[in-house]
Amino acid sequence: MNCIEFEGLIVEYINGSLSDEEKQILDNHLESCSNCKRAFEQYAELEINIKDSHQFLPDDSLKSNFIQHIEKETKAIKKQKSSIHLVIEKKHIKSIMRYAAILLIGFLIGNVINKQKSNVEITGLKQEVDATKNLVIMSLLESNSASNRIKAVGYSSEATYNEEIIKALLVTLNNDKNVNVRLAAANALYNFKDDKSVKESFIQSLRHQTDPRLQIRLIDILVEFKDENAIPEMFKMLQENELNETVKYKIEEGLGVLL
Amino acid sequence: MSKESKRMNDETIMLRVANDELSFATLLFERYNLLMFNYFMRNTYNKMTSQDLTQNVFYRLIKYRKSFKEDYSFKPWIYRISRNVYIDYLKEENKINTNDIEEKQVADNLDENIIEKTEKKETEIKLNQALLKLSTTDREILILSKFQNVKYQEIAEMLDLTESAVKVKVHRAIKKLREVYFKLEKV
Repeated sequence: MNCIEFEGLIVEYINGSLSDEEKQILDNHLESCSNCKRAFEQYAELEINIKDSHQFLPDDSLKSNFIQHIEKETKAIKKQKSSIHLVIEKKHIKSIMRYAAILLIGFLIGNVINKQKSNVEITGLKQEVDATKNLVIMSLLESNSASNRIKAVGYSSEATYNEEIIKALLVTLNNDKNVNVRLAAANALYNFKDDKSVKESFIQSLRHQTDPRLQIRLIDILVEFKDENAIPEMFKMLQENELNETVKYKIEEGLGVLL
Repeated sequence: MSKESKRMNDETIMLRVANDELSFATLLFERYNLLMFNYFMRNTYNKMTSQDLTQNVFYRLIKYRKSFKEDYSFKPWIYRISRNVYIDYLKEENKINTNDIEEKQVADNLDENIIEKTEKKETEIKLNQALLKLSTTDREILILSKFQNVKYQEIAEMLDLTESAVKVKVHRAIKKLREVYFKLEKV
């Protein structure tokens, strides 16, 4: 070991972390090396001075300020906790329950509508879900907003078949102010095409409709159904003067298929 | 506080503080405020600043109490806070080069705080002057290991180093201190 390494041993000796063995090795070296002996004495002096050096003292205000701070923070915490309690006061409970109900309905509808998710259906629950869904669809159909009505129609097309919904959709098909909503209703009703009354309604609706887009859609549907009952109505339409050219073409084409 | 609190270790106390029982923090304040204050004093030699910084440390202890987890050690945690407080202070004051601190300040602070004999006072002045001549990192590691008696392992935790890396740093710093200190003597 050279003196540089011994210097390291000295530092650790002062630190109190040498083994007896290492201490012995160091002692032996110090006896014969005056450089290291001087180094040892200097490190020892340094250590004593460090240990002797005074602790600085802060003012008493440091502690009292901190205690005040703690009191302030404790009050703030209490206030926070009690204000959370305030929110759950009686007058808020109704709103909370309302929101919870809406959330529940939304959640239930979401689960039924989203076909990509797993089909975990609890049989008893399903009926309740359907009933709730119908309620929502019906009320949305009354909405002033066309997009809401379209949404309602969308939901209904994925609902399980029931008379109420069909009726509502038909009413919408024939009476809704907005042509897009009527179109959506037509498409939704298309899903229930197996129902006789639905087919019948399509023909009737054709009589009432004036918007070309809807006329075309209905004709397409009826042609697809290969519903011969539609023929008389279609002839009638051809005789109308204000008939849209595209619609006229559609009818002629359709008649070609049906006849 | 009852006798029970004297036997409580730092970690237990801090966990209760974390649980919003803030008054327990007073215990921690009593145990650590001098250490923290002296840490700042040896770095700044300014009493007002050191008091501010110490206060900051304990304010942060309260503010971030919930970040103290069950398996933590308290001492490294509070030292880490102190170190960050000091670094933030340096950044704000742009005191990156610590040789900015005048030697005069050292003597003034010692005048205020030392009651002892003249002889001791002189050696202490010399010691502090020598400390000031070291780099910030060297001085910091000496303050921690020599003045505050923080073990290598705890320093390692605080500074995110290995224990052997800490040992190397301490050795280097103390050797430097010896060099500077005894050179002063010769002058």
